[in-house]
Amino acid sequence: MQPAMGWLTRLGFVAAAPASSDDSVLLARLAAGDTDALALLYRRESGSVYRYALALAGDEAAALDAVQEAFAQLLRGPQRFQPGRGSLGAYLAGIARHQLLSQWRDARRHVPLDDDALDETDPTPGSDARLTQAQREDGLWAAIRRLSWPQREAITLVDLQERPYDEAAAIAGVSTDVLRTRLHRARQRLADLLAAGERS
Amino acid sequence: MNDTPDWLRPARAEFARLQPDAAQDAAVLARLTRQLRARPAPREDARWPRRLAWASGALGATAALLLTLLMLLDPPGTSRAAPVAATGSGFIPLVPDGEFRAALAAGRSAAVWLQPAELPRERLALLGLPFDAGRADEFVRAELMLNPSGQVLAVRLLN
Repeated sequence: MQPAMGWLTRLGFVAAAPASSDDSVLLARLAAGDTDALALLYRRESGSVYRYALALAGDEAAALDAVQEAFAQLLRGPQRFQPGRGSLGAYLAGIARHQLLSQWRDARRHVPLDDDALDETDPTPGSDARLTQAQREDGLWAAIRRLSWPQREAITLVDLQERPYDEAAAIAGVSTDVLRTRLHRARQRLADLLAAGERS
Repeated sequence: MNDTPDWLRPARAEFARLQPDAAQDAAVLARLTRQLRARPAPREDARWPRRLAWASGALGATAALLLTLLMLLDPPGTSRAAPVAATGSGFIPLVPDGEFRAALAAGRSAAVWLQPAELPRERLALLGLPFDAGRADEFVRAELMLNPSGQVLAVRLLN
């Protein structure tokens, strides 16, 4: 079935796996105010949303804020999640992304999302902050941190979180072609950065 | 699943181990739990009363329009027939004839409502109509004519 237009389908999203019946049951319980269902959903989905937000924000506090906002929106309207349009995790990641972008827009008034425009820049306020504090500061992570925001997002969604291309594109709000292009450039730039690091 | 280069794959496991500070994570869940508890209890499907209200309103408006048309075609008081035929619409008055005619006259300017209903066949006898005792427990489709106060003015049998 072709999904209707929506936040997951604006730019070339074709199809996605329907939510599991487990999702449906938990969301129904959540709608009824069941706090145990909230805890189960949070334990299951928050880690992935957090890591995605952390990779974008480079800041643990901002990532946690984004996670909280994603779940808060789910609490306010569980019925807004439409299983036919993608997974619950992708839906929550999309909200987290929107939250981060809103924060950055408020802070900077303008966040260029053009891949070329951002090739050497990083709009995150804490770009030198704690993405890599939680792990070893090795060459790979340092190089990933130097990628542009859209490139880092593409790498995170596809290479680090192993999301299918269509789901990753839906979260990033671009077509799969654009996502593939960003990913290709990101890998290329990452390889260059790593090679330069080895030479130095 | 995808074409991630081999040199990037080791980063996956490391990335998957990234976790928020446990205390902060618990605090987020606690805030969400409080938010869920503070949420107003979900109402029993509130859409149905609204839908019924809309449906009955639309039905009433349509019925009033049809009744007005009927009365324009056959204005009360112009016919010399019995009350049943007075409207030319098959309605049997359930109120005194004068009251019924007054209501119909008022119906030109005020809404008179038609309400679908079902009557036990045995009640036909109360209206002075014949009925088959063997089918007394069956129901007959009917329409009730009501004035804006909800008083039943007349009934019309549909089958």
